[in-house]
Amino acid sequence: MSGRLTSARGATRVPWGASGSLELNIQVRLCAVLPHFVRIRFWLHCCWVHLIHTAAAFESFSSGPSLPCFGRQSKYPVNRKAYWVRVGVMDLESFLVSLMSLLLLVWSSIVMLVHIEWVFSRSGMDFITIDLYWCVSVLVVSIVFFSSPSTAGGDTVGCMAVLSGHIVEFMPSIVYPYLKTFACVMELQCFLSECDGDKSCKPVFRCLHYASCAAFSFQLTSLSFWVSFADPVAVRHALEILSELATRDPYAVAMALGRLAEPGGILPNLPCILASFPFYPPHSMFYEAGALQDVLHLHDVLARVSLARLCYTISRARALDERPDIRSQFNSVLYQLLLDPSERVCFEAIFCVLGKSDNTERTEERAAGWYRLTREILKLPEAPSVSSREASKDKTQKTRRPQPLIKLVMRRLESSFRSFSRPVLHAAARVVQEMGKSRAAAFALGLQDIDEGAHVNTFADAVDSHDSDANENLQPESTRKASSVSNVTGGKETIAGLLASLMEVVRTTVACECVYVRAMVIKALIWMQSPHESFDELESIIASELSDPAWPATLLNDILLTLHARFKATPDMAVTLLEIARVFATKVPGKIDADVLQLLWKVLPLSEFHRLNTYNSLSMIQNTVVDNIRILDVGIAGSSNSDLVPAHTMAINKFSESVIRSNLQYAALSALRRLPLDPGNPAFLHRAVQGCKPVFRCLHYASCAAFSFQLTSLSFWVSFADPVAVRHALEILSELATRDPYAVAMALGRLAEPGGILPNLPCILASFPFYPPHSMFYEAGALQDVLHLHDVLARVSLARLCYTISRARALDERPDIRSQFNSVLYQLLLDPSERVCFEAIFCVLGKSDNTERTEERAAGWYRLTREILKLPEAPSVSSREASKDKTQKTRRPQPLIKLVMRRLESSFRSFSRPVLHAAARVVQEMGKSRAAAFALGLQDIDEGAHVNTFADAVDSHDSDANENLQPESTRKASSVSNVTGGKETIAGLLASLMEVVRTTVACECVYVRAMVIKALIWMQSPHESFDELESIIASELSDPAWPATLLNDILLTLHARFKATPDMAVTLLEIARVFATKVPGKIDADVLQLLWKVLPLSEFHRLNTYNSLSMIQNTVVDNIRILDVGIAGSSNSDLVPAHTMAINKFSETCLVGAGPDGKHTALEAVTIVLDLPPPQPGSMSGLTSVDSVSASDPKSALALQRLVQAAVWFLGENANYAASEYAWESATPPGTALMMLDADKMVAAASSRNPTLAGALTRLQRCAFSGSWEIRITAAQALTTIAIRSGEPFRLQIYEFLHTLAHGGLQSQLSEMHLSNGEDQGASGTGLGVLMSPMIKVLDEMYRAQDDLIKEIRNHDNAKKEWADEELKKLYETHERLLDLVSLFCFVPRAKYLPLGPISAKLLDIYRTRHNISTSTGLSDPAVATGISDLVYEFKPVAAEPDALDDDLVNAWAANLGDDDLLGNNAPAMSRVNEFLAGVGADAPEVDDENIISRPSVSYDDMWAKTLLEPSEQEEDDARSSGTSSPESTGSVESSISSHFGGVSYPSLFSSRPTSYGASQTSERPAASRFSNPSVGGTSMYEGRGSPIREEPSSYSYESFENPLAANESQSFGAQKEERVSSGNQKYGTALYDFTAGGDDELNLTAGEEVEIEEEMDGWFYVKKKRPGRDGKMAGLVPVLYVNQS
Amino acid sequence: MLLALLISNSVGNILVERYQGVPTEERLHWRSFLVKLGADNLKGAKNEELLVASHKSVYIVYTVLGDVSVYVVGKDEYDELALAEVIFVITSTIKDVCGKPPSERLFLDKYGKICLCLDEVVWTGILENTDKERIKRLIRLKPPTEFN
Repeated sequence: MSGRLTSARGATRVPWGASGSLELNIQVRLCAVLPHFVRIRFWLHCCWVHLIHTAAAFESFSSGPSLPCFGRQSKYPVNRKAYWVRVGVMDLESFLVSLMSLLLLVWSSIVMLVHIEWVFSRSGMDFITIDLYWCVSVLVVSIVFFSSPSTAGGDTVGCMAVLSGHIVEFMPSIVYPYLKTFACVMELQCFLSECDGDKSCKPVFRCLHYASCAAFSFQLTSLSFWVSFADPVAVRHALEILSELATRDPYAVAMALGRLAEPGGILPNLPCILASFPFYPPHSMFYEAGALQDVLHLHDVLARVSLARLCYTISRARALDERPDIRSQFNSVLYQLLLDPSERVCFEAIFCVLGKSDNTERTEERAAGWYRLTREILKLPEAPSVSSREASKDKTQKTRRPQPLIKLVMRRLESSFRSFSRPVLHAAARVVQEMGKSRAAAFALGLQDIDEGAHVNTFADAVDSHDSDANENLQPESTRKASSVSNVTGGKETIAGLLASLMEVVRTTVACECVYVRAMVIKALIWMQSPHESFDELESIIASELSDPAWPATLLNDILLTLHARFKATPDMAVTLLEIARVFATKVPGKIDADVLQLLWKVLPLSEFHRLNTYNSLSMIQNTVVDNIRILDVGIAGSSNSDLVPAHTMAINKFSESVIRSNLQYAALSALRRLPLDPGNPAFLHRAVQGCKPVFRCLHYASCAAFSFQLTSLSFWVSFADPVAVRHALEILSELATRDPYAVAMALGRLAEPGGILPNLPCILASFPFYPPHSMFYEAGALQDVLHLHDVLARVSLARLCYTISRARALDERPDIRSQFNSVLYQLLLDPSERVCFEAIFCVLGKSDNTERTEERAAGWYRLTREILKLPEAPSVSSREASKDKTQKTRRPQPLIKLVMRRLESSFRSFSRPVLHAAARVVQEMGKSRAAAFALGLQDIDEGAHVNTFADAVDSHDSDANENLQPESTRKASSVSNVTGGKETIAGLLASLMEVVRTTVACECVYVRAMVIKALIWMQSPHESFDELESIIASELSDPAWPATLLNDILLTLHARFKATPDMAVTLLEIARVFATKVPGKIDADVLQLLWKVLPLSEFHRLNTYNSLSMIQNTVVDNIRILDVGIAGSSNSDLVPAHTMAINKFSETCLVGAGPDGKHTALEAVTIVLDLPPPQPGSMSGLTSVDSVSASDPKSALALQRLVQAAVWFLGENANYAASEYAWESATPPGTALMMLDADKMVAAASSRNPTLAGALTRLQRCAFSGSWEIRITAAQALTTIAIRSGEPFRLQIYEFLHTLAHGGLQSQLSEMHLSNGEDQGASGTGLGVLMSPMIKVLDEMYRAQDDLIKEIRNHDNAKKEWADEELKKLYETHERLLDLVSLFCFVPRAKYLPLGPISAKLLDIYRTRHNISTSTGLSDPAVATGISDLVYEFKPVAAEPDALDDDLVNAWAANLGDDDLLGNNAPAMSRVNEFLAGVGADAPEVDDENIISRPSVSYDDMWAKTLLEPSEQEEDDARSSGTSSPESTGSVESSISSHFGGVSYPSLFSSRPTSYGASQTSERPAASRFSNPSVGGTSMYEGRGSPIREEPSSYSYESFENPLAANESQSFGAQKEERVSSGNQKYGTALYDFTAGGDDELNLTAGEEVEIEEEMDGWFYVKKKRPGRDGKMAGLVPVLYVNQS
Repeated sequence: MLLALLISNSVGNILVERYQGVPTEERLHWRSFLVKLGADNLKGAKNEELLVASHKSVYIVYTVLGDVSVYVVGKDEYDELALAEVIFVITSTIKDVCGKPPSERLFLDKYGKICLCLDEVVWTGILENTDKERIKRLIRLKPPTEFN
């Protein structure tokens, strides 16, 4: 029975007959219920077995000593009673407890089963529940068993433990299939991923660990648990789990293990634990201190492996940094395991020492491992357990001496390598490999560099003398044979020596017959290869190994991967590794996977490669490539197996690409070198070319001295013998040449030795099978051969190559080479193919890739015009010389320009559109180079020179030579060249060419025409008339076939041309204008915007602040305008605003870029746009005329209008800049010299003073009459801007003009000007009154303030009194107020601008100084401080209001005006304007400009919002209101003016509106009369003319106001005046907005209404209206903010 | 680089379309552009008369051959003249394969062979073989030239 029990215990089987049936029943039943749970059976098995055990125990307890029950007892019989005492089942109580526990267990198991079934039946249930439940039940069981006081230890407990262990072990494997089934839960997936396989209990433990780690580990590690486990498998598992736990929580595990280590420390105890199995001697049973031997002799290898891991984990745990004692204990155990008899354990210990845990370890860990291995010492502890045997084991005691680990390991490994077991060999090799890895890591970190020569015992305690002896004892029997070796190596006790000895042994192992072992050995060798050592041996080993056909491909690839890893670990070894890789590639090319190889190449970083500079590795990789290609070759040759071929091709391609990536270009080089080795196989060659293409491609990345040598080696080329290959080779060479021209030139030059490079190159090119045999044998190249090459692209590449080399600075010291290549290039100009010839021309011109510099282009033009083609005396022709005497003549020198011109002319006579297009492109490029030359001043003098000035006087032969030179295809051109032969200057040739080019415009293809136009644009000289070009373009543009993209392209060309030659701004503007006017709808705004971008930043900075600011302002304003236009315009006007803007910007660009001299002309160019008559629908008269407008469709008309508008705005904004006329820079103060002149002279003075500005003004004035309403508005604004910015007399001039304009009176004159745009301008004039009244008012105020100031000054001078501070303050305030006003209309520099005139400057300065006011008011400038947009937007509402006049100032001015000597006889400002404008009107230059403005001044918004949107209404108003007075806003102006003049007793002037001046002045009234009879028919005329002011936005209120105003016009002014004088505090105001009364006492207001302000209270005004409003009320409350107080 | 090779029938249906280095989203634009170009200009064009167009730095050369129109688009070294070379090779190859300027039906009959030829002529955006004889050999998977 005991035997049976034993066996049952041992194998957990149940040969228990009695219960067999029951068990079977259960099994059957359960299996029937749960057929899938096979393992449940085993679980039940266990339950059953242990139940029986318990029963047996109970039985033995009750029935006496006849029933020894356990194997241990049968083996080591003890007293039964004692046994039970020991196991603790002393009484019934404890037994009952056990039983209860058992029942509990059973119950829980059954519950589990039920649950599992439930799981099974209802998929998708909550697994966690099960899991937890199960954990809990296990825990409960464990706790019940282990914490029960009476069951500490004991076999029942042991049974239970085993049982629970089994449960623990089996449960998961039962549950997991289910869990897997429902593996949707994330945690479970993670869980499952780790619980596959046999270690199914681990997750359980882990789960437990997570559940209650501390309690569990305590339980787990409690000695009783372990002991009672008493099962090697359980121990192994426990150790495994512990070691795994230790990686997660080393501290807890160490503590748990340490806690039970108290009796003798952990070290003695652990072996004790491990040794306390039933199989081991009894002395280890009773907590004896563990003996080292016991550890070493543990039977369960895997348990010891786990132990090693556990020890390693704990000893390296950072968590235990503070417990060095624990760490050293575990370390010591680990080191002891190095002595383990089992290789598995020992190697595992070595791995642990080396720091290898799971291949994810860091380099530092590995390095530290190597350090440990080489430095640490195994100090064997004095094991207490040995003390009993001490007497008999004295010798053993000696083995406890300290041992350097490295020595132990080396000896062990050496012995292992002498094993006959392949697994051992394999494993040992693997260990060596791992050693190598750690060593490499140590090297990489620099840990090891110095010490390998050190004696290993430097670190040991000098126990060397016993080494060999100890060693013998340490070595287990199985490896005893190794001791001799270790004795041999005992002499060289340095690490290096040990390693060498080991490697010797390792190398011999290669002789093993198993390739896998050999592979591992090779890997080990690779890893152990030191960077500093020779790798010959390794190489030869590998080479010899690889000769063995037995090697499977996978292994070889594996080794390559090892190489890769090794390289990554030690980049130093690149060379070595590449060598080895080469060995592979050459030895077993067919077996290597391209991917692997690729991986290997990828590793090599560029820097490494450069660091290497060894030719060896390069050549090696070359070999690889070559070999691969060879393989390919073989594959193709033996074409039966053609499946392989594509794969190989692909592999080669891949490889080549990888070569590109890793910059192993040299591979390709070698490929090329080797390729011709087998020239006999044409298929190979062809495919090789295909395969090599990527290689070729990669070449240009190379640093290519060697390569180009190879590439260009004649033999290679010749043997390639394939035109496509040659083409590619040339392409690559030309690309290479851009990077390293010197190398390429040298390479090409080297092979040129027999006859120089020149003859050879053609020879090379000609040496194809297609060509005559005479060129095959390195004959010096004949020019004809070059010219007759079939492959056009090859020659194109040749041209580029020659160009690159001939221009290379690197070759500055080799003029011979350069001239050779140059000569070849020039010869290519004679190429029959246009493609080649044109490419050669491009090259000569210096065009390479559009990125060339101006200097290059200029030099290109110089070359083209100066150089001469001297045809070489080709040696190859010598044989044919006799027959080709005539040909010989063609070798005469030819000026390049002549050749090119003739060729181009002939090309232009081609019927092929591509040829035409290309020829035009060539001309364009010529133009570019020429422009560059002009820009650099190279060419200015010489275009008139005879082309043959530079030639050697072979002109007489020219035509003859030319005929011969021209190939057949272009022979027809010769006549042309003869024709032009008469004018042999460059200019003549060019003119002739351009004539031909122009005729090409007649081509029916627009693309060709576009290119021709571009060519013409580029060839246009700044000094020549551009009429022809302009007319060509104009006529071209009339063709509706032109696509928009092409037109935009041409505009881009303009842009480029402008950049190249800023001088040509005007010309280009003209052309741009033609575009804009002819095809406004087709031009892309972006393109035009690009033009604007030409303006470099520096240009901007060069401008003064004012200008840049105003530019920016312009941009903003422009955008606003565009916005407005967009709103006002129709739906399809989307493109138009952008277009307008772009035009503007272009103009600006030109304006700014043209420089001071060109400003005027540039401005003129812009204004030309204004000179265009408005588009007349249906008038097709001037289709080809530049100046007529092709705006037949509404959209174009609209676009044109916008353009004009933009131009007007532009002019207004920039005229001052262009004319350099600024009020604040004016030297002459107004009102002094100017006032002395009479009108005609003043105008003359104005014109002579600044013709630019005068011209601009005239144009603007014309625009103000003549355009559409938008243009008129803009023009008025522009005029205001100029008026504000300009000094006198321009301001006066404008002032009067504006008056005239605002009040009409010029209608008769206008109507004579036949400038109607079809729009009825109304009887009353231009309809701009509303717009202009604020402008006029501002000017008025300025003049008034000036007069005022003069008067004050006079007063002070007369009285000889100082200016009081109060007065100064007043002056200053006036100044500021005027500045503010002015700033609303346009930008002026506040610091400089003096609205009161220059004389105010001094006084202002005084005031400023006194009050510490900074003059640098730039920041307080509204334009600056608030930003342009703020200025534009926010100030508008204010600006829209007519500005209030300062009553006092007005009065004072008025009162004193008469006293002014100067002004005494003069009218005030108005009179001056009158006077001035009278002259201007007569003397104005011809009005051919329209001036444009788009600057939104103050009332801009109003205009757009009201006036402009309701033009028809306005017109109605105009019609109706003729003869009546103005509406409100003007009314206020009037009133102020009238009050002013009234005060000065100029009633007539007064009553006559300001506009009357324009009328009186312009024609009827001679200038002289304006002072003398100011009263005048002004009034009548005025009224007769009607008030243009009426044209302004009509709103009902205006109409309603007309009558009263008109009725008591003259009277009211006087009344007002009186009123004012009498009651100084009486205030008037104007309603700013509509206001609706909210209460009885409130008053309705309409915007613009005039009111009289009675009083103010709490934010409300009590106002009186002049007439009742809609509600019939006259007076009431209105919010203060709604009224502008005047 | 040869950006595109496109062959369409007389009404603008695409027969062959190959792009290289043209982003997918641009291909449609190119196709419609080319077809429109042909529709605008190829009416009444003679067989193999080369027409040219350009768009920025891209050149287009196209022609009509029998019932089909051939367009090639290139840039950089493939300017209009190089494209003329390319299109010459293509048309001569097509004529070679079809025996005459092809009708649409004939073209489709020989479609496979034409595609093979095109493969040999244009390879990844690079002009490869220009020699008819070579092409003929290559599409039969023979070495391009006889070697002595």
